[in-house]
Amino acid sequence: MSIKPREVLVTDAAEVLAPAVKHLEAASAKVHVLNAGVTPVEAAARAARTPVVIIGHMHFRSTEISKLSETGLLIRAGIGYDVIDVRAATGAGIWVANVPDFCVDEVADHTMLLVLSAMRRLPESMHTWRRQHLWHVNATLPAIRRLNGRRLGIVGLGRIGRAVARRAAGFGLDVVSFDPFLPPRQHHAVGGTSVDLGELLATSDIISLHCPLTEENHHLLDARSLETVRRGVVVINASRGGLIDLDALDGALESGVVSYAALDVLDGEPDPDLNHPILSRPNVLVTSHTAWLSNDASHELAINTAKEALRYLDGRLPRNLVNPEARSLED
Amino acid sequence: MKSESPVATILDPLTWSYDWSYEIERSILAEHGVKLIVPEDEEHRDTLVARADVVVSSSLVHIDSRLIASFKRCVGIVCYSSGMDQVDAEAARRAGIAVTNVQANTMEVAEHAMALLLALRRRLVPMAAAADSGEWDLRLFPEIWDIPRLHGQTVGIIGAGRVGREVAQRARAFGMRTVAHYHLRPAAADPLLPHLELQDLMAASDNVVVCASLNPDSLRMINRQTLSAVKPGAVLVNIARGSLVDEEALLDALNSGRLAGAALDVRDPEPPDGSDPLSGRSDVIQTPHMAGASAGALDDLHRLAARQVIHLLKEAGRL
Repeated sequence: MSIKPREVLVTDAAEVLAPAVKHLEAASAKVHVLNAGVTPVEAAARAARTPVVIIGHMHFRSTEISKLSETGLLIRAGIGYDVIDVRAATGAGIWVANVPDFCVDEVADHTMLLVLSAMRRLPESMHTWRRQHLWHVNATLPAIRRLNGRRLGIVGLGRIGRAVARRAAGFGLDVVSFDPFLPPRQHHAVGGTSVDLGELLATSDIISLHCPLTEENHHLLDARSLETVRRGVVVINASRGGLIDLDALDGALESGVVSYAALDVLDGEPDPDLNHPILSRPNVLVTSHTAWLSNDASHELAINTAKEALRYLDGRLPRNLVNPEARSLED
Repeated sequence: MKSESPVATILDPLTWSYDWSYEIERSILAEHGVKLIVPEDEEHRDTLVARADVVVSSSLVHIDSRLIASFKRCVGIVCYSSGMDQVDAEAARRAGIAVTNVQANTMEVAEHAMALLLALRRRLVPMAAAADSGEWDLRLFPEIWDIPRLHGQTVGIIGAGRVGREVAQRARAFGMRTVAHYHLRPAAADPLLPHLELQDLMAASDNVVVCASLNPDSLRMINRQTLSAVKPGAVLVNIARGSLVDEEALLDALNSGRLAGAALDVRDPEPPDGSDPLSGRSDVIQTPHMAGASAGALDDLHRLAARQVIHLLKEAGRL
C-alpha cells in the first residue's frame, strides 16, 4: 500500500462545498479548489496527482479520466453520477462514490409541491390576482383538480421515490410504482402497488420520475411512450432532465395528451435550452434544479462529501461506492 | 298542507362565476317534487324569499335578523360553503330556522393549504421567476437559498375541524409534528394532534395554518397579542376566513421579520383594497379565495346543496 498524499481537489461548486473544504482542512487535508470557469480537461490535468477528486456538476468523461494517474477516488457531490463515465473510471482502477442521502426529504417535498402546483394550477391562480387583479379563477377552474383519490405513478422507488410515496399516502393518493430492482413487497411497505411500466403509464393520473439516468432509460418519456399514457396526465420530473424528450413532451402538451408538466430538471443540463418553446407554455412550471435545496441539505451534502474523502484518505472503505469492483482497499 | 309543492330559492345567485348554473339542483329537486326558483332581480327576490320553504345562500348577502324576519315560510337555510358566518345564527335559532352548510371541498381546502405551505417554505415564486429569467445557475439567485428542512418542524393547526384534521394528516406525511388549537375539544384526545392554548401553539409552531370557522369568538383571533407569541421565522397560512386575522398586525409582524412569510387565500375585505400593502410583497403568497375550488368540488357542491334542501324539508315535514 502506497503512502497517499493527504490531498483533495474540488473541481467546481465551490460555494456549496465551502463547509466541506473547512471540514477537510480541520482534518489536516490539503484542499485545492479550482476557480469557476475551468474546463473539464484543465480540471483533470490539475487533478492528475490528487488522490481524491470532488466533482460538483462538471462532466468527467474518458478523456478526463485518462489523465488521472494518481487518483483513487472520484466523489460526485450529489446523488446522480451521470456526469461521470463510471465504466472508464472502473477501467482505470478508480473508485466512484456519490453522496446519496442528504436531500431525500427536500426532493420529496419539492415533488409534492410540483404535484400540488400542477393540480391546483397554483402559478396561474397567484397571477390572476397579482397581475390581472381578478379575484376569481374562473378561467382555470375547469382545469383545477382534486388530488384525493387519484393515481400517482412513481417511476423508481429508491430513497426519494419511497419518501414521495409516504407523502402521497397522506393525501389519499392511490400510489403505484415501477422499479425493476425492487421486489414487490418493498412497494407494499410504503403503501404502494408494484406495476410494470406499461401499466403505470397507462393508468396514472400523475407520473413522477425518481429513477437515476442511465443509458437504458434515456428519454424514457418520448413520443412513443407518451402515446401510451392516460389522456390529461400530469408529468412531474425532479430527477434527471435526460429522462424526458422535451420536444415530445411539448407535442403532448400541445395535443392535450399531457395536461400539465412540472419540471425541476431539463435535458441538456448544466446548459439546458432555455429558449425551448415548452418553457413558455402556461401549463408548464419549471424550477431550476432546486428540488434538493434546503439549508440542512446543503450543509449535509458538504459534510458527507468531506467525510467520504476522509474515509479514503484514512485508509478506510468509502461508504457509497458505485463501482466497488474498480479496485480494492489495498491497491 | 301538502297541496302546493315546496319551493327553494337562491337568495343571492352567483352570476359571475365560471359556467355557474343551477341545473343540477333543479333536476335533483324536481325528482322530489321541489321547485327551485331563482330570482331575476331584487324585488323578485323579496317576494320569493317571503314564500320560500328553504333559502339557499351563496354568502354574498349577510342574513341578519331583519332579513330573517322576512322569511315567512322558511324552515331552513343552506349555505353553499363550509362557513356559515354570513347567517346571524342566533336570529335563525329564534325563528326556528335550521342552518346547514355544504361540505363539498374539504379535500381541496386541505390540499390548497399544503400547496400554500410548501410554496411559501420552498420559495416557489422566486424559484419560478429564476427559471423564467433565462439563467439556470442557482448561484445567481440568493433569494431562493434560505429554505428550512420541513421534516421535524411543527405545524400548528388553528381550528381542528374537518379541514384542520385533513391538513394535519398531510403535514405528518412530511415528517412534521402537529399540534392544534381546538374550538370544540374532542371527547377523546388525539395523541397525534394534541390541544394547545392559542399562545402556546403560536410559540411552538414553525408553520401556523388557520382553519377555524368565523364566529364572534374567533373574529381577529390572530392579532397583535397572538402574533407577539409567534416563533421567530414562522410562517402563517390562512385558508379559512380573512377576518380571523387582524391584517395590520400581520403586516407589522412581517415588517419586523418576526414572521418569515404568509400565504393567504382569504382576506378582509375581499377583494383586498386597491392599495393593499400585503398582496405585492415577496414574502406573501396570495390566491383569490379558491382553496375550495376544483371541477369536481363544483359538481359535488351543486349535488350536496340539493340534498341538503331535501333533508331540511323532510325534517320539517314539508316533504
